[in-house]
Formats: sequence, structure tokens, C-alpha cells
Amino acid sequence: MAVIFQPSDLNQHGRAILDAARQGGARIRDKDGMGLLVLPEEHVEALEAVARYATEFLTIERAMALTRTEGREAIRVSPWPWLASLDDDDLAQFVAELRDALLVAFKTGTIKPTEQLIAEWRVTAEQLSDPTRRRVLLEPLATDDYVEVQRPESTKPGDSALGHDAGASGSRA
Amino acid sequence: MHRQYADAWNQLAQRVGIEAAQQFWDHMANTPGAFPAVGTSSILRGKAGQPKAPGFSRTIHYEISGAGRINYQFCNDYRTHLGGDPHPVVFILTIDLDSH
Repeated sequence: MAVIFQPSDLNQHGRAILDAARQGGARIRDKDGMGLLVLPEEHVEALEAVARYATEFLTIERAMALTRTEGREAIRVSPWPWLASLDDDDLAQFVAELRDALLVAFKTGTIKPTEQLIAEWRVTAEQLSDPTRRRVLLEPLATDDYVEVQRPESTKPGDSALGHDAGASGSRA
Repeated sequence: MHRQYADAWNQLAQRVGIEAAQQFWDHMANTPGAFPAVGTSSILRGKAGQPKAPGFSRTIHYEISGAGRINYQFCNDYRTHLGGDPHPVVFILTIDLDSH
């Protein structure tokens, strides 16, 4: 709860206002009754980000309620057009995870987990946007498709990976 | 490594620099499940991040200073055949050398 100050406190108790603001918020009641808030910048930025993500979330959720063709078109012109690379299952999972993340962000005022979630989904969508990468990432493992490789241009004779082998079989390292 | 990306692997050092390419190799070979000391990594979400076999990790997306992105999974006790000795292995799934 923000501490309430008077305009005259700005001169006489400036330090107290700053301390109250740092601890959660300082409310200054102006002479005409208007309330003004002094808040930590980080807190305001988080609230703005949560509001922005919530708006974008609602846009995507609304698109998913349309027919598939209309919904896909709505996503392509949304603030997050990269979502178009996701299939229906992944898109539904993204919406569910973002909904949970936003609920936490609203309660805690912390936006970093939401930003990380969106960033990871964006990377995923970008990786899936290429047809060859998409096929390899989504297909079942077929070890015959994998070959052994060596450390790039090793300068030391005999230098190689000591731990994990980069291929299908350690015997072929 | 998936044979589809053999050419990309051969170009890796030229495209990202030998030091960065070797740093990736050393990270992948020794601590594939940890956050890298150089470069960045994250986990792919959704189906693309699912382990390809029991005991496999999820798909890790490793980014080399904006110039290369590599997706891989690892398994600490992979057996080449039934009854074979378990050993650690990394499967490099894809290599993306397009500049973003």
C-alpha cells in the first residue's frame, strides 16, 4: 500500500517520499485532490509489459477461436506473426503456457519468466520455419541418418571430444 | 550429426570462427546439459523440444554469437545396440548458419 503525502512534503520530506517509493510506492495527493504515484521504474515497466503481453495474448486467443483458415490469417498479421510456424498442437500449448505465465506475472509483478517463455517459443518457431529443419526436429530418431564428426580443425594432434561423442555411436567416434 | 547438415558442419569454423566452433564442440562434448560459458542456449518448446528416445535430453538450442544456431540432444547412457556398453553421446540435429 502506497504512503500518502501532501504537496508540501515534496520540499520538506523529499527523502521520505523517495524511500516510500522505493519500498513500493508513494502517493502524493495534490491540492485539487488528484492522486499522483511515485513508483520504482522497474515495477512500472513490468506492469506495462504484462499489459502489452496480455493484449497480444488475447489477440492470439481470439484468432484461435476463428475457423482454422481465418485464425491462421489473423496470426500472420498479429504482433507475433512468427507463431504461424507452429502447428495447432504447439499453438495451443503456447497459449496455455502464456496464460499461466501471465497469471503469475499479474500476481508477482515479475515479467522475466514471461519474457523467457515468449523468447523460447519464438526461437522454436523460427527453427521450425525452415522445412528441412522442421522435418529433422520433428521426425522420429533414425540413427542411420547420423554420422560421426570431429572437433572443428583441431590444432592438437589426437585432440577430440573426451566426453560425449557427436554422432550416433561412440564406437565410430 | 544428422547427415543433412554435414556440409554446414564443414563450414562452421569458416562461418563462426575456429575459436567459437571449438568452444561449441568443447561445451557439447563435456557439459552438454549446462549453460555455456560462451554463447547462449535455451530449450526448444513444444514438439520440437521433445526427447527423441527414452533417456535423451530435450532439444537444446545453442547460439554462437548470432552467426550460427545448433540444435542437439544428448544421452548420458546411450547403447549402440542391445547389451552394449552405455556411453554418453550427442546427436546434432540441425545447424543454421543463416545470419539473423
